[in-house]
Amino acid sequence: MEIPYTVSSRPDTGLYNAKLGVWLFLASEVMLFGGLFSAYVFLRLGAEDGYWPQGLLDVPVGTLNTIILIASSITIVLGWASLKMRQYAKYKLFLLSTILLGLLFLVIKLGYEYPAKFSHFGAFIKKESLAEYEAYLGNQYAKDKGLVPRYEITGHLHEIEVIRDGKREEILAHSPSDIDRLRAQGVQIEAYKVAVDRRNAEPTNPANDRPSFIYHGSTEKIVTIHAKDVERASAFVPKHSQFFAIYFAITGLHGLHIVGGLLVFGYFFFFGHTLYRKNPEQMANRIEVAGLYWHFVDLVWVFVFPVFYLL
Amino acid sequence: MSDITAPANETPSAENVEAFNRHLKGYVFIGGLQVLFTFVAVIFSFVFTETATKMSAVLLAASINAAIVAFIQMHLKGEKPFIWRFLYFTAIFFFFLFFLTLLHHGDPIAGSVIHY
Repeated sequence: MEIPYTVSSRPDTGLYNAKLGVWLFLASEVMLFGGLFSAYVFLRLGAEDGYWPQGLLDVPVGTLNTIILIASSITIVLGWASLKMRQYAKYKLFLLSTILLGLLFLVIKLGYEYPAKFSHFGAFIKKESLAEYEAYLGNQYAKDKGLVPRYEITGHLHEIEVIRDGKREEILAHSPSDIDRLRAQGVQIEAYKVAVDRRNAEPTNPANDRPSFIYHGSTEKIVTIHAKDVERASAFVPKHSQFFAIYFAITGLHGLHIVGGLLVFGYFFFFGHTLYRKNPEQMANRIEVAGLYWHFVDLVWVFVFPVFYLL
Repeated sequence: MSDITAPANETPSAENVEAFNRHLKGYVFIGGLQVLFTFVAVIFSFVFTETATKMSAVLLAASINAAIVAFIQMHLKGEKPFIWRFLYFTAIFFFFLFFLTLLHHGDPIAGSVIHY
């Protein structure tokens, strides 16, 4: 049985069926991401001053990923136009470019950005102990300049001071997840030795008043933070703060959408030839609806980027 | 009813090729415009210091970028009224979600304000 309206428009809707289907799907996607963005606004408005991290994401890398997605959106629309012109070789080239750009986006996200977060460390200091760490937080300076208070010391975890079997030990930390591993073993953590970020190394330097465009990495200044003064400490993972919880939820879901799009494009790249020879217009329509989905994924990122990286 | 159309080996006319090249240039221009607005958003985020101004400026640049994607790349500009009809409903539900958040912010339930 032949499926109707794969190319021609239905008289009542004025659209071919796949197009109507994908727009209905995209409407549901707007609600899905809308709910998550609404949650972001909810958490951000509810966050106390100083508890919503800023400048912890790499702006140049985020900008690069935005440009990559924009480029992939252009290549897929050119691929569709090539199919309309019956230029199959050109279409394959544009489709391959889209796939490679999508993969590059994922490689940057999963191969660089996420791992950098998993290896970064942050310790929120208890309010009653803030004075002890004034040299690294600079709250008096922040107060004088009308800046938000600083409660967190960030950097790379260097060593963990522990008490194991009644003996004091210093363990070289490979990653912040070592903390959880030691706790699971019943080891008592006494202190964290952290190679702090520039803002904590020079908290009264006016250059650190606002997030920097380029991430400078940790300094060589090692700061000892006593566990008794720490409200909570972890890598930049979802449990670190509500910022990272919603960051990983939204960017993770967006990444899954990229994977979904790449699977569809991969199928068309390897198995699309049969349909093209049978009915090229239907093939063009399939690429059009897949392209609409891909543009939507780009559209979501257009808001993800400023909301998390810039604001 | 058959949906079979022009064969795959059909050669495009010179006019069609010209139209295609025009489209190609147009879409590359649109892509350039999007990159430009991405940079504008980044610059705004570093130029403006006051939070409300910064948020408004950056989100405005992002919204222009999103409008370019929706209206030009997704062809919403010339899309059938049928699609617009259910997109209106989506927009209403979408803004209602944000209204709920703002409602909570303006009138919080005692003890529900979450820190860090």
